[in-house]
Formats: sequence, C-alpha cells, structure tokens
Amino acid sequence: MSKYYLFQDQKKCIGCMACVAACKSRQNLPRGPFPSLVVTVGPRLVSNLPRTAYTFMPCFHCENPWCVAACPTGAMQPRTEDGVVTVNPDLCVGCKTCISACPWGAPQWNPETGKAVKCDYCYDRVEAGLKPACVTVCPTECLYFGTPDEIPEVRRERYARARAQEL
Amino acid sequence: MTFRQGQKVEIFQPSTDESWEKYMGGFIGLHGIITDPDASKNDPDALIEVSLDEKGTHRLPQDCLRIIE
Amino acid sequence: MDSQTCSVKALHDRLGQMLNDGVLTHPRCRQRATEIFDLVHDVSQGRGGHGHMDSILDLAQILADEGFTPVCRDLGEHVTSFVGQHREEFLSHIRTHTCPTGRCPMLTPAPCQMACPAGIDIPSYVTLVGQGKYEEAISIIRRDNPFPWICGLVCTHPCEFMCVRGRMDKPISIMDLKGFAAERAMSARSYKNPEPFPANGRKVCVIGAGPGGLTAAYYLALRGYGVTVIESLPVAGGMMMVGIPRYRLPREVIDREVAMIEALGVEIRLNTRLGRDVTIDSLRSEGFEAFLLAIGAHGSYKLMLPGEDDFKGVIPAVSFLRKVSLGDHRRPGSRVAVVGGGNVAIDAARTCLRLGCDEVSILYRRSHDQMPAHHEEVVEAEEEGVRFSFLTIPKQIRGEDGRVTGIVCVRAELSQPDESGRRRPVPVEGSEHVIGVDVIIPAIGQEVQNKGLEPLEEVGWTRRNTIRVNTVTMQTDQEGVFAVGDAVTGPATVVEAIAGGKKAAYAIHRHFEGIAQPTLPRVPVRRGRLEHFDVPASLKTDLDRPMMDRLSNERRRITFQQVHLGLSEHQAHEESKRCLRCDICIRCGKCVEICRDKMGIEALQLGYMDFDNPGPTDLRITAERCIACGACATNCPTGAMEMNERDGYRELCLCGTVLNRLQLEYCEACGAVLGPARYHDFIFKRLQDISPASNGRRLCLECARHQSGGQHAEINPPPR
Repeated sequence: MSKYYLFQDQKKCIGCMACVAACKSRQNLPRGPFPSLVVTVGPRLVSNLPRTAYTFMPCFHCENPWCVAACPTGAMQPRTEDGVVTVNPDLCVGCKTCISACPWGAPQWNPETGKAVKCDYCYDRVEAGLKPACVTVCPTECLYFGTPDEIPEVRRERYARARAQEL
Repeated sequence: MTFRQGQKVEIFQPSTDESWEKYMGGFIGLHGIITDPDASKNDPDALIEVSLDEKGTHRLPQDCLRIIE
Repeated sequence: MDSQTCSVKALHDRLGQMLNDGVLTHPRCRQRATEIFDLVHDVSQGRGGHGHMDSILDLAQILADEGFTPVCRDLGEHVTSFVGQHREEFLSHIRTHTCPTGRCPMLTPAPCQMACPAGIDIPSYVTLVGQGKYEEAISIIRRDNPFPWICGLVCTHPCEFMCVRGRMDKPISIMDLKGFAAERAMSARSYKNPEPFPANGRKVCVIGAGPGGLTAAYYLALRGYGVTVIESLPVAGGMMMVGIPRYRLPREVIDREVAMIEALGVEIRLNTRLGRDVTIDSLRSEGFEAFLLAIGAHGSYKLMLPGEDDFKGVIPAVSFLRKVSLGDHRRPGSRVAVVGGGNVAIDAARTCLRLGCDEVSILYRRSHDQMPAHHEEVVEAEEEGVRFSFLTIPKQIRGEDGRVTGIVCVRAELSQPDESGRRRPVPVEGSEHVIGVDVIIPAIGQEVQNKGLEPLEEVGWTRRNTIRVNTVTMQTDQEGVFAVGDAVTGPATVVEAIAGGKKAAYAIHRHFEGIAQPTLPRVPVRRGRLEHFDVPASLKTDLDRPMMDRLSNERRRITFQQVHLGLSEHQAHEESKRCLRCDICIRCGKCVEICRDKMGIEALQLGYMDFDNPGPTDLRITAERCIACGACATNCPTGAMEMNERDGYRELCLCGTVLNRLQLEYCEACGAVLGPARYHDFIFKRLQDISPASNGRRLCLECARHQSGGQHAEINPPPR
C-alpha cells in the first residue's frame, strides 16, 4: 500500500474535470488514456430530488496490486520508498496484461508509445514538495493528498454536524 | 583455396590485387555467399562473384575471402 | 560520418531525444521542433514529398530567428546546417523511398533485392505475379533490368542464394517467376516500354550488342540520348545469342526483348566490326561524344598441347557455340571430346549431342565434386547422355590425313590438400592412353579480344587482360570512354553485365551533365511497398518450391527445344505466396526477443532471421502458444507484425502469414472487445496467488471503472 492517500470530498466536487485534464497534460497523453477519471453517477432521484455524484478514480496503489502480479516484464512495480505503483516505460512491452488484470481500470493504454500508462501520484512533483497535478488544479479544493494521518476527517465531521443539528 | 557456389565466406582482409577498390575496404568483416565462382576452370586468380549479407553482390579477388563453414 | 550512418535517422533520433528530455522549455519552440520532427519522421518512413525539405529548412530558420532560448536557436541552426550538408541523402530518401544504410527500417531493401546485381525490387514483382498483374511486374523489373524474359530463363540468380526463405526450407523461385511474368506479359501484348525523355540531341556509341551494351543503350535512350550500337556479328544479343545454347534460351526471347530496345530509337548496326568497318575516329566524326566498350570476352584460351594446330577437328568451344547459334547445324563429327569442367564445356557437350554426335565425353582433370560447372547443368548433361571422364589430363592431340583421330591422356590422382586447401591432380605414371575421337572442343576459358581498340590509347588494361574501370561508374582511364560486361570482369554473368550497363548509363549521363560521379556503389531502389497476401501459417509452411516441367529426355537429345518448360499459372501464384516479404520485415528479431525474453511465452520460432546462424523455424507453433497479447506487433518497427480483430477473432499476422487466430470474448456489460480466453488464462494464472478466484463478471476497462465509481459514489445520504 502506498504511504500516501488521495482523498476526494465528493460533496464539494462539481465534476468540472480539471483534474482529469491536468493529469493527461502532465503525462503528455494523446486521445484515449485517462490515468485518472471522474466517473459521473446519476442523476438519480434521491428523496424526490435529482442528484448526481462525481467519483474521482485515480489508481488506488493497492497493497497487493494485481497489475504488478500480472506484468510479465517487471515494468509495473511499487516504488520501494513510498509504495506508489508505477510503470517503467523502458521495460513495458505493451502486452496490456496490467490493463486487463486491474479490477478498477487504472492502467491505461497509450497508443502513441505502445505502452501502459497510469496514475503515479505525480511522484516527481511530490518529491519536489508539490501536490499531484490533479490536486493542484482542483478549483473546489475537494481533493486532498497526503499521508493518511494528514487527511481531514471531513466525512466524520460532516456526519457529526448533521447529527448535532438533528438534536 | 577454391570456392564453390553456395559456400559461406567472410571478407577477412583487403586484397593485394589491382582490382581491389577503395570502397571495398568497407566490406572487410562482412559475411556472404559465393554466387558465381570461376565457372570455367576454378582459376584461383579469377575474380569471383560474392553476395554479401545486406550489402549487395560484388566481383572480388579471391585472396580476401575465407570460408566460414 | 561513415557509410553506416544515415543522416535522416541521425537527425530523427536527435530531435526525438531532445523532445523527450524536455530541454526545449519554451512552448513555441517545442511546437516548432515537434513539427520538424514529424517531417523528418515522414522522410525516414518513406512518406516524404517534394515540399518536405523546404518545410524542414523553413521551420529550422524560424526556430533560429525566433531564438526564444539559446537551445532553440542552436537547434534551428544545427538543423539548417545539418540538412544542408546532407541534402543529397535527404532528397534520395524522399525520391527513392530507400535508405542506403538500412538504418531507416521502413526503407530497407530486402536481401534478395540487395543481392541482385541489377537491384530489381524482387518482393514487389513476386507479389504482383501472385496477384496476376504481370504487366506491372514487368514494368517494375524493367526499371532496373531491361531483360526480364532473358534473365527469367538464364540468370545465375544470386538473389536465390540470399533468399531468406532458403534458410527455412528452399528459396523462392525468383528467376522462374520473372520468366513466367515476362512470358505472360509478352504473350498478352502488355510488355511495354516506358515513356522516354524528349531527345536531347547528344549521341553515344555503344560497341557490342550484348547484355551490357544493350542495357546501357536502353537507359540512355530513355534519358533522351541518341544511341547507336555497333555489333560485329550478324545478330544482336552478344554471348546471350552466341554463347548460351538455344535449348536454354530460345532466340525469340532475345529477339523480342532486343526489339523493345530498338523501339526506343536505338540503332543497332549489325555486321559492323570496330577496326574493320568503322574506327573510333570515323565514329567521332559521326558526332558520338561518348563510347561504351561492351565487347565481351569472345576469345578462347588454347590447350597448349602438341598437335592442337595441326589437324582439322579442334574447335574452341566459343567458336563452336557461335557457329551453331548462327545456324550451322551440321554435326562436327561422330565422337567428341570436350576438354574442361565448366559451364561452357557442358553447353558444348550438350549441343554436340543435339547435333547428332554419337558419343560425347567431357574430359576433366579433377573429380566430379570439383567441377566448376553449376550442379544442375551437370545433372542435365548426365541425363542426356554426356559421358564424363574425370581425373583425365590431355597430353597430346593425334591425327591422320590432317584430321583429328584421338587425344592422348593420362589418368590422375588427387594430391593431399596443399597449404591453400586445393587438391591438385597428379599424373599416374604409365597411365597414358588414347581416346579415339574425331572432334576436340577445348573449353578452358575465354579472354577479351582487344582488336580495334588500339586507338583508345589511354584506356588501361589489367594484368588479366581486361579493361580497367572504376567499378562504381564503369569509367575507363580515358575521359568519355566507359566499359562494361565480360570485357571488364572476364567471363561473368548476364546480370552483372546488365548491372554494369545500367551503372554506365547513369555515369555517362552525369558525364554529359557535369554532375559529380559517386564514389560508393549504388544501393538498389525500392519501387514500392505492396500489400501482402493473407496466407495461413500451415499453408505458408507446406507450400513447396515448384518442380518445373521439363522436355522429355528423348526430345532433349535430338532438338534445341527449350528444356525448361516454365511454371504453370497455378504454380506461379502458389510460389509467390511462399515469399516472406523481407521488404517489409527487416528481421530485426524484436518480436521474437520480446515474446521469449520479456513475455516468457516463446510463441515465435523464426530461426530464419539470422544470416550467420539460422535456427529452426516453425510458423505453426505460434498458434499453439501465442496468447495474442500483441506486444510483438506493438514493438515492430515496420508494421510487418500486425494484430487485427475481425469477424469475432483476434489475428496475429507477419507480413500476411496468419500465425494465430483466437476467438474473442466480450464485455458482459457493454459488449466491448475483451480479448481471447487464452489471454485471460495467462493473466489469471499470474494472479492465482493473490486472487485465486476469477473476479466475477468479465468487464471491460471502462465498465470496470464505472462500476467501481458507482460503488464509491456518495449519492445516497449516509446510513444512520
């Protein structure tokens, strides 16, 4: 498991896709691949009101990543220093097994290079003391990046406030 | 040394023959196949035709060639 | 820069590296550099057009002028000077779609084309023959060789020795396919000349109407030159006509192809011998400004035996074959001894049989295995009844009443190999014997006859008594005088003479135009990149090199009819399917390496790829092992390996050879293609340890994402 955590406060997200665009442009990607994606769920009637949710889907950087197990060339590896799962383009031969293995669809296909590409938490930016590109550009500041203990407890707080108002 | 059609050869040294031209220096080390040896009497002094791997077919003196099989 | 480096590829790689490394920090500059890179990429892929050079230079100039950063300015200046410096190489990539160094993978000629002295684009015409497009096949061949029919019958075909398929089983019948296409095109009246340039008013004289001279005449005439060919014999064709017997090369074949050259306005003056009927001076006064010496090697070496000049019945092979070719079909005698073990000896012996000689023997001083004649010709001579007397050394010629009666010979044994590895025949003492014959035909080699060339004082000669030339341009030591063919090489092949003729034609043109002559041999030019046929791997493997029908042996012994009867249309089409299309696959081995070393699958066994150490090839093994992951196709630099999806199957094809075909599975939610079951089995096997069960529904990437996105959506109020 990566030592970092990327948390999305869905209540704040307006589905503007700035994070998605920033991600693609940082990795200089052509049409097709979306290493991170905002999945639109809904609109759906909730208490007779139409509601839509936006789920941010980067890579979860799993503890036991299936993509790593599936990769026959050793190109897909978690970084020893922080557990961020990355593709080494020099080793990747484009067999797409990682893409087929991942249950979340995180590794993506770059047709221009013929190699897999995925969310790497912008580790180069992080090492330089910056936040990942998606987090940086988010206009509603709904994305939080850090180690798990730095992530705000927004959901708990919000729940607690809601309960308190009911009382 | 006599060469037969179909034999694999290497150009292992420059020839001392007058027919050895400057550009042929670039052939040294290349491998090829004898495609037309002297077909009248196997004259060791005749120029013979060699097809070099990826570098074309040339008529060369025999003292620059050796068999590699 | 050495001859192995391609400047287009070098610039391509350098720009790619710079763009990749991110040293071009200014966005505008990066944009321009990307545009230049794309243009250079086009050129190195054979997609360059007329405007590419100018656009590259314009963009480089803008890059330098804008000079947003020092790196950009330097890059602009570098591209400008580099492209200027290597202008010819860039232009030749654009014009000929050929990379002379083979560094641009898409533009590398196939080994057969490289091996052809004339540089014919063999894969292209082989493909066209398979498609039944004989006219197009002939026009492609004639861009490099004006005699496809002749070469389709008698070429020594170096191409077939280099044919990559030969490392797998047997080479493609490249020569026979050419002969087939020429025959069909000629028969269908679709064998045509290209449109020549308008006449430029300059005159070239070719001396000798053999393959070398006529080839030069053809390409010069196409370029607009007025060409006259002087020929001492009463027929055109040179050694093709008077050296090669009719049962190998019918006269009509030569006549028809020579007529095509005459149709371009080339004048052939027969029965005109240099030094007898015309002189260099008289030709100069006719207005000829350049000369091409293509006089062949029509003299014979003598046996140097006692009695050789004393009796009637000793006829040198070259003279004998010429006489027969010119129509003298009287039999020379009843018992004939041909002395020598080369192709000419075989031709003379087989000709004697056809003229009705009762007994024809070939006397050769070494053993069967050492005969310099081509194996196939020896076999055919044996079939027809030529007798061979090996390890037999002639000593003296005997005769009575002015006629030959016999030849005195000794038997020989082969010595142990000497330092050079050569086993010499050593006469056996007391083995002297007489072979009773009335005709002796020495066939121990030919030489150039230099009569009539004396006025060309500056033309240099080699110690082999051949004309000295620069073999890149065929220029002699005398300005404006060129030489080709056997007169330069000594007795050699038809296709080498043709190659020389073409080189000389280009060099003569440059001579007139004052363009600098090249210093390196010309690299063959690719004439296209044709679509390949789809052939299943098993058929590709099973198809065998065709056996050509031959004339019955009974008839071969009595007539000059062609022995080789040509391929049938079906045979020709099947044969073209065997071609591995090495003009597309450059045998870099990347696919094999990735499949074996990276994927650990070893589904590609293509041992033919290596020239020096070819390994086993099995095209059928792929269907058994391949999981259709497509990594080989993704990494193929030329697009030779392709993976396509059609009709519910995923197919892996190498230059049209269908190596694997697996049924596809589809996303259970949206119906998108998922891949074949074997591919998923491969992945599940690798996931066994961390996920023993399969992950439920088979979903595509998109659906999996949306499904898990939905699961994580906080659309409902949190449960209380």
